[in-house]
Amino acid sequence: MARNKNNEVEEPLELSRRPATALIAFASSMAMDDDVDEEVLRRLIRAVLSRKAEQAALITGLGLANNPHTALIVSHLLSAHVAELRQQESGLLDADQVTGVWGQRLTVGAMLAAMGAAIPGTLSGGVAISLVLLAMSAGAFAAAGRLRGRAKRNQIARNREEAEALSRHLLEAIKTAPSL
Amino acid sequence: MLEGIGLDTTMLWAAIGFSALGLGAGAYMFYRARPATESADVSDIVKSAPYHRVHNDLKIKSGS
Repeated sequence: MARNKNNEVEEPLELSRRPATALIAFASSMAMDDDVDEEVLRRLIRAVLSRKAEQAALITGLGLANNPHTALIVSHLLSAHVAELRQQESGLLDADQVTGVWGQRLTVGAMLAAMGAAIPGTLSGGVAISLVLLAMSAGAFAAAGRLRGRAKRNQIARNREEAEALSRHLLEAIKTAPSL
Repeated sequence: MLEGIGLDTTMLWAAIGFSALGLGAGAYMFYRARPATESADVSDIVKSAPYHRVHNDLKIKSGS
């Protein structure tokens, strides 16, 4: 038991029940060969990553814990989450580069076809104008879709970086833990 | 069979088809970028977590 400078026994810090401590509990439970639902872990990790206070509580909790393996398990779970986010990110990139880019190109093609048909008089009047307008709106919609996809990809990248940093800092926390 | 199709019909449907594909691509991108639908509420999981497994390593308050 730790003693302070007045030689009084210091009570160990009591942590509250929150997603961060729940994640530590599940990690210890996994180390003891308990069966833990992957979906539960995924939701807890998302909850921890979504708030700065939970991230701080996780670092504190694992620094205070007497068992360094728990931190290693949590760090490993975070790495698995990072891999999952990276997969989502590359899936969105593929969708953008294949579907998004080609969707935009096709709408430009449609506009050129409509105008090309209108110039020699193959199509005329309302039909030609509606076709050009349709192609323009389709182009705008495809561009908006691409923008949305890129925004989502950036958001995933930011979450991934945060998860990577947290995973690294957990390992630092056990290195600097006073109890070890 | 196809000889009867005039230039105007071809151009009309080519432009409509390309626009439709562009709209489809945009819709697909929106679908891929949709926000996650699962609930962010983890209070049940936090309540039922196996805290007894860490009581040797870490002090965690009992109750909420």
